[in-house]
Amino acid sequence: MRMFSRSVCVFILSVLLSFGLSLAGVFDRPLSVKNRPELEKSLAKVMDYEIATGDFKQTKSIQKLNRNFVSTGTFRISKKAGIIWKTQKPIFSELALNNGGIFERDSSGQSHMLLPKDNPIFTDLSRNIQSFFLGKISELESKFQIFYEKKSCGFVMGLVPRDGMVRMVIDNVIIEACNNIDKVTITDGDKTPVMLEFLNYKTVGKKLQKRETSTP
Amino acid sequence: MKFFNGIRLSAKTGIILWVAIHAILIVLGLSVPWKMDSDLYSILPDSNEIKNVSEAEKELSSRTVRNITVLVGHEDFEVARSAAILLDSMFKGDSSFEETRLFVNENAMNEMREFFFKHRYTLQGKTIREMFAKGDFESLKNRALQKIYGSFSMTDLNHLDEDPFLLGDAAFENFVQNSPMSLSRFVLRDSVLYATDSNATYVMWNAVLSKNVSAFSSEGHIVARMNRVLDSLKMAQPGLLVAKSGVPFHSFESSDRAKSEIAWISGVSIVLILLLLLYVFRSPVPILATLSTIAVGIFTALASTWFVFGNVHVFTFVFGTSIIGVSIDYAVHFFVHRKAGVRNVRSCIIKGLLLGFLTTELSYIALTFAEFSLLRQMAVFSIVGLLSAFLTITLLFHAVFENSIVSSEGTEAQSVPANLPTRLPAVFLNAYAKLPKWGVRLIFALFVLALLPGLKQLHIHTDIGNFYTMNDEIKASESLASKLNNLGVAPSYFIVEGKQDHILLENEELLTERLNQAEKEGLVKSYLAVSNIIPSGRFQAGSILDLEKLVFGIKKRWTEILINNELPQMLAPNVRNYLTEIGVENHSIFVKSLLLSQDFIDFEKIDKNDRFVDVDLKNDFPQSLSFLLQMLWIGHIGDKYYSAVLPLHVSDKFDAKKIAEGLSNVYAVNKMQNINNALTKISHVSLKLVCIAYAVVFLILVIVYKFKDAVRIIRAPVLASLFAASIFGYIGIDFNFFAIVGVILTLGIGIDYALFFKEGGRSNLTTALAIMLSAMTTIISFGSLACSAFVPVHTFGLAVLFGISCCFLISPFSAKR
Repeated sequence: MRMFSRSVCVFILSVLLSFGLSLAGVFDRPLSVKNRPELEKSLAKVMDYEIATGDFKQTKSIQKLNRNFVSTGTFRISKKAGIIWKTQKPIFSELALNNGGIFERDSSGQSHMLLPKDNPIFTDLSRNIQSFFLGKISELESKFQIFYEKKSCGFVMGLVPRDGMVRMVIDNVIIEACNNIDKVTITDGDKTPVMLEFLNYKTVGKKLQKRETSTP
Repeated sequence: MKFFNGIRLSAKTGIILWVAIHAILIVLGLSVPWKMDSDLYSILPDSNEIKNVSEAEKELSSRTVRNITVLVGHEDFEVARSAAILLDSMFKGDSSFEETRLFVNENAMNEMREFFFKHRYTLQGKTIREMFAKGDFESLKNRALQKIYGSFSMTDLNHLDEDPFLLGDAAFENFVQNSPMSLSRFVLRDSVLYATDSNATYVMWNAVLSKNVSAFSSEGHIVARMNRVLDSLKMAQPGLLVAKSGVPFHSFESSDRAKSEIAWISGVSIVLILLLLLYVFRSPVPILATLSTIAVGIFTALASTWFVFGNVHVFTFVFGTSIIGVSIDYAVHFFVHRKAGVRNVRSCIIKGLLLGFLTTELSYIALTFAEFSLLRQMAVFSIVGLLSAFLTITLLFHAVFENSIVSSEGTEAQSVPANLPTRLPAVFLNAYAKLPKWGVRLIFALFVLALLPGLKQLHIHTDIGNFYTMNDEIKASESLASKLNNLGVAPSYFIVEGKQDHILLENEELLTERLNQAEKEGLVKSYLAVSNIIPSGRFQAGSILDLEKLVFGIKKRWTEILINNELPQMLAPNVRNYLTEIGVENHSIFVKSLLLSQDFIDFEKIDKNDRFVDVDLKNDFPQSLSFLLQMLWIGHIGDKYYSAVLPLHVSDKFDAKKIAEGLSNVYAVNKMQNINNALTKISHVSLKLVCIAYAVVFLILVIVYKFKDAVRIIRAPVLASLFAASIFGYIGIDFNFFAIVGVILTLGIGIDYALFFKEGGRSNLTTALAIMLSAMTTIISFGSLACSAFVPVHTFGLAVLFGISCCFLISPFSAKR
């Protein structure tokens, strides 16, 4: 069961590491052979960095209680060193993913390991992250149904888990990106959406743009 | 007709007596339901001296020994999953299985979450309980806020009004952390559990064999059928990998190997014995008569053992076959003397036969005092079987065969019976005849001296771990299953006892405190215990009281609060602020839930008739929790409750006994080690009992033959047994329980040779031939078992081979020149 929850978390994390934004209409547009190269190219573009840093604003909307829980924090994604995800307000917590596994630090400063590096979920996660970083859509498709819509700036991508049990926890994920990932909306099995908006997105080590600019 | 020492018994009376005794023994056996026990585990001695603890261990083992796991692997997950589905469909509903499991219930997680939400105030783990007890509101609040505002948290916030501290989530997390799932490498995908290893994806299929499935192999055995199905799946799908794990596969493998091997050995030895008897007697009559004696003996022994014990273990049948050896010996003596022309064979051989019978019986009677049911069964089986054989020879054979004898007069055999192959016995006896007295003494002195170094090196020890060697396929399968399950159950574990279910859980909690310390010291990675998930009633009630104190900030009891209808007002200010902070407007929802939803869990419930009964572990809990409870909660044994606590991934320094030290209701168990110790202890006790029996035998012999002759008689089997033991010492093989059974057989059969030589005289060719024939049949039938690769059978055969061979060579010295 824990593995299951973890795998869901891992899935969300994998998604977040790469993208942003939401539009429910995207689910009318399944990824086709025709627009697949376009998605791959767009994905490669937003993932074109060595290190990405920025702020995020998370909004959990609990419709049953008619209540929104908003938190803010920072993130740092390094393709070599791993990921650090810090929630700063209203309460501190930190999640770190690196070669040793996944770790969590709470508001009292105590940290503990969530997943060791030899855990299969961690292996899965690493593989997924690699797929995202490298824009390998075919690998993503083995686990999700992919939906894609081109926008005037960037794209919207929808992901629906293929596994029924995963769907009981995560119904879908919508990612919106322009030059960077701007917004990710995760809707859980109870149709509760969690929206992540990314601000002050900064990247280091872009290659494509350099190449594009250097091309005569 | 003279029977023995002046007792006269007519042939007719003999037959009536024979029929009467056999009828009584058989009718007694038929009066109880017949049950053949083939459970390999049931032969093991009690591994704990405390009966209830031993019963608890057996109950625990009985649950796990029927479990099997098949891992169906392929580089493509879908292929592995399809093959596993096919396997499941083929065996689902099969009567040989109690249940099969492939798919994980899609609602399993929701069921678990709901269960722990319902019991959120009582089923908390140590960390949260400590927060309650210390009144640590800040930690409790921060933990909840982290879940509410943190990223990647899957906590359900829909019940925040009822559960603002997210205690349901905490209880669920505590379960996950304390369940085997926290270590397992299996994860869920498409409703099945899978894990990856060496580029292959393995889908897990589990099953529990029905209680009536035998551990012994047979053509239609479920394991044989499964093997065929798995082979066909592999044939149909190239690249499909299969790993089988579980005791039933080992039992099947080992019994299948042993069965075919013993069938070969027995087949060859029976043919050899028949040829030998045919060569000596040149007639099928003695052979048929001997076989009938054996058949009647075994049947009577079986019936009587059934009557005494209520069942007969198949091993009793196998190892209790000493009656075959003795039956053949008695019959051989009868027919050799008859063929030699002895007019009244019974009178001629009765003294030796009777003494041989009594001495052997005494050895077996001594064994009935050993506290090991298998040994007792073997002893009773042999006592009755021997009695039957003795009566058949002395009463029935005498009546049937001796009336028709047409031969020379007189009771003594001819010195050189022309119609018997006496050349070999003659050579054998001549060799002894030529030995001078000092030569005999020298031989004995050297012989005894030669025995000493071997005896000094003798290691009396039984290690059941050495009895079975896995084949490479099963070894690889077990290794893979163990790697993927990653449970790392240690050989040492704990059985905890309590007069009542909640007392048992309290006793467990005393143990888990020590295990938590051991965890901190790195002696153990984790452990499985019921009380980590379902705390004792004391802790469950304590949790609520502490939380009430924390939430209401006063020591007022909930009844007062309810009576005064002052629910929200009674909340402590910090709690009220927190609820407001997270947007909970109606505080009374939380207060009411805390005061009214105090669902305690225990292991007794009230049935329809208002009686307390044990809970149904399978149906009264959600599936995932039920699996864990079935693994750990043993339940009622006698008038107490028992559970198991299993340490996982222990270090070399982990000492279960030390951890349990001083805890009066906690027993450290190392089943394998305990059984080995128990078997070794039984071996020592058996040897002592046989020594006592032999002392009695010696006294009888002294009365019958005087001291010097008694020594001469008894030294043959005693020295032969020491010889067998010494050889075990020389070749460095453990002198285990089964070798000791072989030695007991040597003492039982071997003394007959000495007695017959004593009675027949050292130069009597008829006696020499009869003894030679007896020894050869015994060596062929039992000694050949030394060729078996099955360690218990091998050591038994080896001990008999050495013992009987030596006894045969020494026994001529029992008689005067």
